[in-house]
Amino acid sequence: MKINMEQFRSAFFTEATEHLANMESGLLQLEHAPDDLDLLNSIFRGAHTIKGAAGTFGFPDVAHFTHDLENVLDQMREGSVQPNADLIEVLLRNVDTLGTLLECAKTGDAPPDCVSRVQQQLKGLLTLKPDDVPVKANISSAAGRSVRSYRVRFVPDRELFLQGSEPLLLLRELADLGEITETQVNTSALPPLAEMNPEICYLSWTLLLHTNVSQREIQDVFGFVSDTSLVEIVHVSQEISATVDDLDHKTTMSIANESDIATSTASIVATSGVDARLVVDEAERRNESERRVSSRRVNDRSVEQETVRVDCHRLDNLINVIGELVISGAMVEMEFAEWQKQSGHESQSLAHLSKTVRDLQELSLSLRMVPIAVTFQKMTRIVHDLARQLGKQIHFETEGEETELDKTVVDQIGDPLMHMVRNAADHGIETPDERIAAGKPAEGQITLRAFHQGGNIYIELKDDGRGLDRQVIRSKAIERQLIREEDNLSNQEIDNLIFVPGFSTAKQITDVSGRGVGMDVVRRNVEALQGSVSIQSEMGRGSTVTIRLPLTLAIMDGLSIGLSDDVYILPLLSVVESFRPEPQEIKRVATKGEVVVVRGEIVPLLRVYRLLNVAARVTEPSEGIVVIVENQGKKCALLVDELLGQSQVVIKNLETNFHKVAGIAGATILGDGRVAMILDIFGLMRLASNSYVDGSRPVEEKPTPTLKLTGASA
Amino acid sequence: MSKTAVIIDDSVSMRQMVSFTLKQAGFTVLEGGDGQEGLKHLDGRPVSVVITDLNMPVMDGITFIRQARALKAYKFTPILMLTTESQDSKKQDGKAAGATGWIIKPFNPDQLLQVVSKVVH
Repeated sequence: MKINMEQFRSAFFTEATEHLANMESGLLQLEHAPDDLDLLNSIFRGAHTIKGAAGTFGFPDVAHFTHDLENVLDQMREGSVQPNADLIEVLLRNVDTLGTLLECAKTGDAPPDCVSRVQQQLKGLLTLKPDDVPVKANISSAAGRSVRSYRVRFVPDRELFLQGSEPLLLLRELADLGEITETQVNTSALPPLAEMNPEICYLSWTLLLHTNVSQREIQDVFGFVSDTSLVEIVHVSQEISATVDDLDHKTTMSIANESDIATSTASIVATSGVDARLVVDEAERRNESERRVSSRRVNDRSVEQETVRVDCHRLDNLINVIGELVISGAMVEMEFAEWQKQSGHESQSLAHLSKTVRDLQELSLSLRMVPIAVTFQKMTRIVHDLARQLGKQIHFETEGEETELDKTVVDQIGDPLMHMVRNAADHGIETPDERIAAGKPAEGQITLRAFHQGGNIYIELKDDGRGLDRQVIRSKAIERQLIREEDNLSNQEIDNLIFVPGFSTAKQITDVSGRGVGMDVVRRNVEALQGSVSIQSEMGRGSTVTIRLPLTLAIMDGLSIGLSDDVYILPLLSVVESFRPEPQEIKRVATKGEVVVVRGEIVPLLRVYRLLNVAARVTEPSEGIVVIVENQGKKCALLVDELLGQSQVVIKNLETNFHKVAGIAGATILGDGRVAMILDIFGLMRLASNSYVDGSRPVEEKPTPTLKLTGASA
Repeated sequence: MSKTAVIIDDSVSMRQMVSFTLKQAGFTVLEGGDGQEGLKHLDGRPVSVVITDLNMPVMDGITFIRQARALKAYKFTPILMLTTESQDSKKQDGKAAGATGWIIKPFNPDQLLQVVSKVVH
């Protein structure tokens, strides 16, 4: 049979990658729990599975490399090698190299030179068991060898059937090797029918086989049973005494060919089978209820872990189509409501349909949710490596790894998280000496946790390091002209300056955290995921960086607002309040431009129509509505014509369909088929502040791309 | 009616390969990711052959073989274990637990079918 292995390879790679990740996190845990045998077993299993599968799918390099790794892990399991930090370090590097090898196997590139070096390193640390020499069946060609005759005596173990073996199949296989000219079945062991146990094999055989295969190959036929059954293979010319004499002549039947053996065996089994079935039936009746209970238990347990792998694109397509369904559903609902009003007809079915569609959408979104555990595991490794590199002692803890996020978010949060973790380990945590001098334990503590709160996911990175030095940040920010000397900033505002591009307070530029990239990249990446990031810090006590992320990127609770004839959506989570201001509440402040005074608080007023360069009906704030929105601890008031209502909107990416527009986060299709832009509050703030900080030109003249909103053509 | 094979392996790719090969050979294939999932399939239905990996989470292959063999309906069912050549002692353990035979990893589809034909009518 020709079977193309190619089709299984991608599954193999996916699986191997998962095993690698598990092995890595397992090794990191092992450092703290060297006696955990379960852990060791699971690490071993990873290597073992990769080895077996790699060989099968045609990657001998990978299989060979993993073989050594597996050996070492095996010795660790047996206790002959003790895990220690150095060994774990080498094993981690091995896992990395294995990852490289797999990558090479995938792309077909030649593996890099470092492979053999890493492998040597492993070997150097250990006294490797001599490799088990694979005992491969010698399938040498039989051609050219002369035909020889063998007398084969096969006395099966009485319990052969209970091993799932079938003597008939073995004899048939034997017959395939050549020609059987003589078959004798010995029935002497057969008891009287009444005493016969159908589960026991009473028969034995002696055959004369003419074949050109080696004795070894004949032996191989009985490979599975040779440990329990008696198999004698004698080259006939060497035969000294007649084997037949060994048998009980009285009950020996001569059977000429294989089909006769079949009939005889079958008939014996058949006659005794009646009794057997009776016995089995009764036992079964007795056990039936028991069995039902236990099988249910088994079912319950297996439900927990069953998964199906689905291609991501298909999933996205499904979610997209369901998104469209939701929109169409909303349109139908509106039309139907209109029709109901006119006709006075009442129906529950549409409400039911709408609910089902909503459920379906919720369900579809949950399909994309994956636990953040994998990303967290990577951080464990990063801290481990950094601590070694920097000569620091760091205890790293993660919490809430099971927290689920949209797959895209999980994939993309890795980089910013890595920057944060690096910063915490590099700049946050002090050296052991510094810590002791500061009256802290030598070992620093970094905690990474994820949790749900109010429709958002929070990822929090907490360290007990030196914290932010506000004096340094402030003077640095002034030096870099990010703020002015006279600016009166709150502590929180000062702390958050570290997210401003080009800001880096590291006294020493290390190769770990680099120059100037870091927290501003973090903020940019998090914002790209519609999230936000902030930092709380206490000097000498440590910092906590908090990332807030939306539960899903595909759907959002929005507040619809009107500007001229168009509808815009504001993320509901950012909305604080809305009201129509009195004329005296609107003021003009020299440095901030227009502001609204809300219960004594001064909030900058942004005229959305100006920032986006679109039409509006209301230009006088006291005639329109201002919506107070908050982003990253900053508030602003948006002037809009009117509030239209609240709705859940499916977010369509503007960049993929059009191009990025400042101040716009995306688009959506409304229930009536119209397109609405989703406002990006942070972007609007930036648009507004740019025009003031730059001070170069009034906002009105700023060339902004004109948005033309046309029907449901998006 | 086609013959049924049960394949148990925690490695998805191995399972897919074995499963595909057996399907090509006309088997109906049931899959499980560990011993416990394997036992779930042994609910009394006729099974021509069971192929199981040994090193698996939740329930390993040896335990599975022992428990499967203890089930009345599968007393005589051929059970093949997937082993690597470095696991000679495992082979003995497997046999002691009631395995019929073994398939040595790595193997290709032809080798698999050859071994299966040794134990299945």
